[in-house]
Amino acid sequence: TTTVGIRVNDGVILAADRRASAGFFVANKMVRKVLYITDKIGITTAGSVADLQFIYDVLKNIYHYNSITKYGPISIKGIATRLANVLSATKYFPYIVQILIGGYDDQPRLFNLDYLGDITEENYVATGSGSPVAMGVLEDEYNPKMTLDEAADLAKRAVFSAIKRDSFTGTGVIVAKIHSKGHEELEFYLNKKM
Amino acid sequence: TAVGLKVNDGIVLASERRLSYGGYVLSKQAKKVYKINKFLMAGAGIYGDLQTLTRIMNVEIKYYEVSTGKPISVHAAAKLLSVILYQYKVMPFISEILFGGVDEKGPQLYVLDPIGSLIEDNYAAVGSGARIAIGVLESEYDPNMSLDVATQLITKAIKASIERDITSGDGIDLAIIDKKGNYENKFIPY
Repeated sequence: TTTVGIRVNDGVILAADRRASAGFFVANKMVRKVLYITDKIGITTAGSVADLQFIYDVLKNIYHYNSITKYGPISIKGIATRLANVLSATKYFPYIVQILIGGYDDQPRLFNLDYLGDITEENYVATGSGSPVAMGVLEDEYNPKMTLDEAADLAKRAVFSAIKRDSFTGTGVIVAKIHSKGHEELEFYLNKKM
Repeated sequence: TAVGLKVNDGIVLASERRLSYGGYVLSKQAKKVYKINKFLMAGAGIYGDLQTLTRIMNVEIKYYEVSTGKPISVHAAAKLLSVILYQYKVMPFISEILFGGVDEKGPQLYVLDPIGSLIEDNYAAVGSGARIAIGVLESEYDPNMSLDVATQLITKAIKASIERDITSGDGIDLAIIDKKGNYENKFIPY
């Protein structure tokens, strides 16, 4: 897996490849690793699929439970912190996950969460087995002044590089552009037939 | 992953070009199908061991032919490789090898394990994607199929292993010898 998150002034990009591997076997060629909690809050997932599916439900529960209480809709930092608390509490029997939470509340936000409960805010970040490859591209080309479309292209190129050099990453990439009005999604494939 | 196929009209050997170090793609241009003398050799395992074995075989076959004064048979060449592998039994070449060729006895294909077992077969697959490739061959192989159909089948088998085995990829090398002994090689990007 390779996932990429980029924050710029106009919004946040979340991107991820589509390969699910079990050891050296390709278990699924068309898996979705960019998921949405709301129209303007997305996550990317890397790690154990079972744990990730459970954590995704937990995240949606956190968001919707907050929405129906007197507190109202929770901020992105709020959701990320609540999830970090869950991961920290299960530190000694951890969920094997690395999650990016990105979106737009009153400003673009991007957080990286690791499986022990670490939470960091980032301008650009990559997760998963292909992250060293993707980070090489981001490190060279990221610029906080880039437009959302330029950031989307950068994210695509970062994941494509990882597809080419990391065997656990493959098929193609889903790129989500999240901005103040919602999100749009782009898909790209290495093999044009797909 | 490397695959070999024998039909009445000749033999075909094929392999993909990826060289992996765990999950990392070290090279996308690792050729794993070799022509040695008038034979074909393909394999999987430690790439350096495979290269060493091809160099040894080139020399040993030449030595056999100059010392006996006659061409070596497919079986003798395969047995020679088997003996070399067995000599290194305590510190083996980490490799699974397909060895094939055509002589007066017709097309022949042999499979060798790291310590030199030698088994003749109609079709075989070795390496990380072997179990995926063999499934394709198993369902469609027919010894009466033409060399062209055999080439298509072997390509299909390698493509399946590229799709489902992460350590396979980056194009397909094919080598073909027909029953008259004519050699041909191809590269298919995939």
